[in-house]
Amino acid sequence: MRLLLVALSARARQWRHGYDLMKETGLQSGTLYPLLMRMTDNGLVEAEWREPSQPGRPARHAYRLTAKGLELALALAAADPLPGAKAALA
Amino acid sequence: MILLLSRALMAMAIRCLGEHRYEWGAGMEAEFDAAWRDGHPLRFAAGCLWGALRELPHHESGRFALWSYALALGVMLPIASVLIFGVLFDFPYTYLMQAQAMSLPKGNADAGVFLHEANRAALPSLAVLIVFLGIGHLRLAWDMLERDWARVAVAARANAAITATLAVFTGLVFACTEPVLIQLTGLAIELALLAMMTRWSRRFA
Repeated sequence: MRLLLVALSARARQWRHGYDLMKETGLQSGTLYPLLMRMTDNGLVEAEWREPSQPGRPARHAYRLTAKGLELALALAAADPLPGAKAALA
Repeated sequence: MILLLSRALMAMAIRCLGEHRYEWGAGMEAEFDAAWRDGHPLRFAAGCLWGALRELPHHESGRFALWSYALALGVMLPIASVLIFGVLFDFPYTYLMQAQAMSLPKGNADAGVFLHEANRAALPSLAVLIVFLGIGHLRLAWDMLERDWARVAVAARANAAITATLAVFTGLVFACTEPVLIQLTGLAIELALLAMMTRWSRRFA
């Protein structure tokens, strides 16, 4: 979850797609999606359907941190920073 | 071929997530397009399926599906196998043979001589009934996984009728009540489990 929090908090206001998050964090889809589901259930992440950037492509589900999620990401980074996390949150 | 397999895995993943996580299933399916363009559709789809399977115990429809499969594969199919193969290959479990053995005085090696010829003649028809009971359990397992509860009820009634017939005839023909009690206890447990599953299924109707 830490990896995902770091990835999402790096561009906190930006909507991110699942496959891009997989590539960025190195998590597999079988780990990423259950994590996103739990985080959404706990109010840390919000999900929304976004129109495709290119015509003819399907609409995609996108995710970003809520205020509560961002607060948690900042608190965790301050308490025990992951390598590279500080730079991402800076 | 890989694309077809990947799509099949994605479809299974979405089904496993159920109504409860419909949006997430649709979200995964939308990302599948990106994974395919990136050249990793199978890895993505297999991961989604693995994640969806791990989600099953966390929601009620998933728990219901797991219980249905456990009951069908862990109870109904073994019962059907034992009944059918027992008759076809003369497994010594069958209560017909048990009855035959129990009707003998201890120490008599000549099995079967104490059964009256007319009683022995009943054996083939009772064996056919046991095969029908086995097939009935296969049908029951299938209908349960199809969630066709009306047909489950029909199959359960047919199985109950066959078991009652077997109980009455073996009790009379072989004067042996122990196997009958085992059969009737098994039937009671089976019907109680089916009633429980039917009631549970109404929550998703």
